[in-house]
Amino acid sequence: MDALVSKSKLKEALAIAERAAAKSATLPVLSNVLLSAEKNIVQVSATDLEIGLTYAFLATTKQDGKVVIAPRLLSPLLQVIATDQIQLGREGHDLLVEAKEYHTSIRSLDPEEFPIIPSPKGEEDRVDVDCRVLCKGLSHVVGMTGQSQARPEISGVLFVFEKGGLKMAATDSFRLAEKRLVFEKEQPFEGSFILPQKAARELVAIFGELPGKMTISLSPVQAAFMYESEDKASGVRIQLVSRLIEGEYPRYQDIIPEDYKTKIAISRAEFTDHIKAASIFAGKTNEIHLVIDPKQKELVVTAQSPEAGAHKARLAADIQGEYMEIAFNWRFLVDGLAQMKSENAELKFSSEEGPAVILPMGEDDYLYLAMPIRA
Amino acid sequence: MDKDDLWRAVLAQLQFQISPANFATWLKNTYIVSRKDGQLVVSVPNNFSREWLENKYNKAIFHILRAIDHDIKEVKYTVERAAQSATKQAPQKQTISIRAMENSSGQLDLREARIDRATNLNPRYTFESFVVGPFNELAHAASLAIVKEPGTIYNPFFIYGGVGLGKTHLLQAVGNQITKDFPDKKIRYMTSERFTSEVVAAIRNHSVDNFRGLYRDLDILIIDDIQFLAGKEKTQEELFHTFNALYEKGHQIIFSSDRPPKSIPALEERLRSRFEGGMIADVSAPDFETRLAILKTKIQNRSLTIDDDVCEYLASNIQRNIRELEGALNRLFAFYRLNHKAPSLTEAKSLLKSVIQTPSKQISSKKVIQLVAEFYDMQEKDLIAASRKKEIVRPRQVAMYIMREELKHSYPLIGKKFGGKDHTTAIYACEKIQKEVQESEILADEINIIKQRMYSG
Repeated sequence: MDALVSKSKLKEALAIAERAAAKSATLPVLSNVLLSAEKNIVQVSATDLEIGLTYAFLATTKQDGKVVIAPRLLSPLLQVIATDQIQLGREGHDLLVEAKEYHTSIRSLDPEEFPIIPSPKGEEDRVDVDCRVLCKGLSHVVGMTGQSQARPEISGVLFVFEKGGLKMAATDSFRLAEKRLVFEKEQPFEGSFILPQKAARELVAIFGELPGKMTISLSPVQAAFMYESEDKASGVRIQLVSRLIEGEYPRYQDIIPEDYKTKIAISRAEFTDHIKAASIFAGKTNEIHLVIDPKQKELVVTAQSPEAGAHKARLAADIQGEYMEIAFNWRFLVDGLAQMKSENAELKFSSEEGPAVILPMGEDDYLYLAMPIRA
Repeated sequence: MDKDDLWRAVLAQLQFQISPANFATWLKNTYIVSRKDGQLVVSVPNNFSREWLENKYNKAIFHILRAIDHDIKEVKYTVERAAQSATKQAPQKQTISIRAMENSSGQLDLREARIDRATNLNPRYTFESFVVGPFNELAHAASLAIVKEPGTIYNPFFIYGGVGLGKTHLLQAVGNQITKDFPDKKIRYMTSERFTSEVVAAIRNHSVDNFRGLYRDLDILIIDDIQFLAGKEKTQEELFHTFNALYEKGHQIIFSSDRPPKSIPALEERLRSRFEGGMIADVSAPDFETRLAILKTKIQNRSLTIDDDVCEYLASNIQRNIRELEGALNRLFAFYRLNHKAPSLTEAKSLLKSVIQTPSKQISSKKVIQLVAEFYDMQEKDLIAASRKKEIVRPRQVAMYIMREELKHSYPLIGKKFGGKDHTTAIYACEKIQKEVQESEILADEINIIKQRMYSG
């Protein structure tokens, strides 16, 4: 291997690829990254065999080659190197890093032992989406995925592609969030898949701030998310592949109630503060009570626990419907409210033991649903 | 050499050529799916394994295969969606325990949202969606009669039958129909597990009186899977008193179980006799036509189109269990959602391979002998030995009968398996047991339990 690369690009590539590297007792090679130079492209990849990440960028390569190195050795070294150009080469099996006064060789494992990351072959279904819009939307639902291994189908985020838009939903069976995106122009692909939570989180973290579009390639068992920088000169290409979760996602539309007993319009920030104040006294069960009184036009938030004491706060609200007392895990309410940007929120309650729906007032692309605690 | 043996031979040789870590990582859960005209298709669990095998081990694998069988010309690797879900059935129990823990804090979850909290009934189960065939006619007719006049004709009503044949459906349909027709009647549907935990909670919280009050106030009590009460004496006692209180007032009581009351072990005699006092109906396995009808109904409910030949393939291959039938359909449905087209017969076959193929191959005559010996609490070798003691002869005849009925072995082969007995002995045994099965319910149940263990283990 003989390549002249930009230090900042290499640093970024390592930082991103490293996210997929995993500690594995059976396959130690997985904690490393594969660094390869081929035809003026340098590529850094890593995988934990669930997801695979590849970051490729342009560089001057004189001789192709591959090494497998521990990112914890190369990354700190790049921090101290001052110049932006570094020369990568081979010394025996190892990687040689040269920059001005530095001459470092880093131990490499056998590159033949590194897993081959399955890339899309070109025959998959493809969809183009706006990178930032997708990741932003995804970030509003990814936190609600289920954690239990026992129900794998809800341990990921459901993506439903329709001609005009995309729906993303997640639930852990206690609450549910759904985000709807509308495409500017129609696209041909229609279908759905369940993306594992880890892949969804990485997607948001890595692609969240990138401008431009992202291409999703879908096969029945795998999804590949590919981003190519609009600035052709840098030649940056980032790809995340992930297995998909098999199974049928619960028909969550059925649980969204159609009739509501009580509806409230309330300031989102004030309500959040009140819940947080009450949460101090909620005790181990995280239980807070809401008393909704249409006559007094107020919402009373109370919480108490033997260890901490008792708390009660009143909040003026626009209330329609019946008087109601209902208890929630406060975290579930705050989690939902935090995903909204609107000034006011609308809360709708079907019954004391039925789901409650929280909507951002004036926006109709987000829905959050939480189950109460049995009184 | 069959597919499984062939692959085992390959793995056996391959393990010496690659490191144990690699072997464990890349060859775990691989198997041969099909073999046709020299082309071998190997199933791997994920794309990573596929890439690795295709690029790294293909040569080695191919060499070993060629050495064993010259006809093999090509090896292909495929990731099967179905491969994973087959192993997923095991964690079922776990789900229940986790949910029970979560629910102890009172946090309600979405899954129960559709279930009516007062009655515990799931509105999904109705008479309209229940397919009637000769195997469940009696139970269905009795249920309908109960719905018309709860508490008067068949009280208590006891349904029994194997796993996944529609007992719960029928029970819940009765409940739902009564809720509709008599909205003021108080109904409660319970699983016996939940009933038990309520009894335990009542004792712990010193609220037994409340508990009794709650149940004795009901107009209709439905308890599912009553066989799990076996050995739980305090719960049986509470049920006994509840039963008496309800029965005296002429309120309807409905039970289900996987076996008739007589065969539920460790059930108190007074409860048993009460169960038998009303109407007992059984549901058995559906015939082909009914299975087809069930499939069609389910397909219609989901507004899905699936070819007739695919339906027939499903109905003829999944015979024992309607739930399995539904599971298979779910898989096809998932395929449909992903690809937006109905699966063809070949696609359906490959999708359903793991569901359909597994059960038949596991049962051998050896397994039958082992299970029968275990059931009658004796040594396997006694069964095979030449003894004519009565306590040995009977189980031996049962084993012969099961081999004939379930494994379709020939009489001479059966004779051979039992220490070289004559085929006429086997014929005599099978005929004798067949006759007795019709006369004695106890024997029929014994055989049913052995069969269940045979197919479930």
